[in-house]
Amino acid sequence: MGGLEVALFFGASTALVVIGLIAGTFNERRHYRSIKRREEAFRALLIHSGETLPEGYDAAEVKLVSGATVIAEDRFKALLASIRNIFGGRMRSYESLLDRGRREAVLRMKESASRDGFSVIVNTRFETARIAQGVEILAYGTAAKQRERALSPGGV
Amino acid sequence: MLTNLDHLPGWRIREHKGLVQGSTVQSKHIGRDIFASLKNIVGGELKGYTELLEDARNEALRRMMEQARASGANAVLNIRFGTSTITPGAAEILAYGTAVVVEQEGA
Repeated sequence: MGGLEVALFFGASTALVVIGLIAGTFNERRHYRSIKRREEAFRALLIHSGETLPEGYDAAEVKLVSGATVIAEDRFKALLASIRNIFGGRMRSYESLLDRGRREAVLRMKESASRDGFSVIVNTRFETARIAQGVEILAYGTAAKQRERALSPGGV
Repeated sequence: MLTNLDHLPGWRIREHKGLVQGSTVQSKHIGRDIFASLKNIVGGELKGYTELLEDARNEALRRMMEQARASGANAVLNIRFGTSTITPGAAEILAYGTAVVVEQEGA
């Protein structure tokens, strides 16, 4: 390998890392802004990890709901992680990636539940799997609708 | 009716039909792979894969429901999902649960 080729090889890798750093950081900030805004909008929709419905809740209808996202790290995060791997310890660059993915999955689950008029989600479960170049994060649970009191006089 | 609870609120279990499952192995075409590896430089969501896995999951659920229906059940409880990469570039999506016959409480 000649000197030019070596320079080209390292130059290209460095360029990709720099692009990753700039675009990746921009993407992450934008994603967090969007997550925070939507989390505020869907605050009213209750979400539990337990199996029982809230006290006094009389479910008229239940449905399986889910939300998923496949999220990938940028070159800069990948580089940080591979350096971190030498010394061990917490990989902050991946922590924020998974945090974003998981909150996005929950938001999509909430969106699909509220679109169909459900007001609570119970028994929420998470799945995480490494696929191809990304990480898939799935959130699923059972959504329930409150029974209209006026429609069932006397109550059951 | 599908739920990942071990009971169905407002309904009583009359009969258990056992475990039912559905799965699908999905791979994506090379175009999506190339796009994904470009996206890998800047990071972020790989939308093509998200859609692909959603379709695969619906297919797995559909196969599971078919099995449940064939055994005469009208609901599946305790549904769980699993995803695993079995060969590079292909993922298996699995859905499984317990098929039951339920009836309205007080009926």
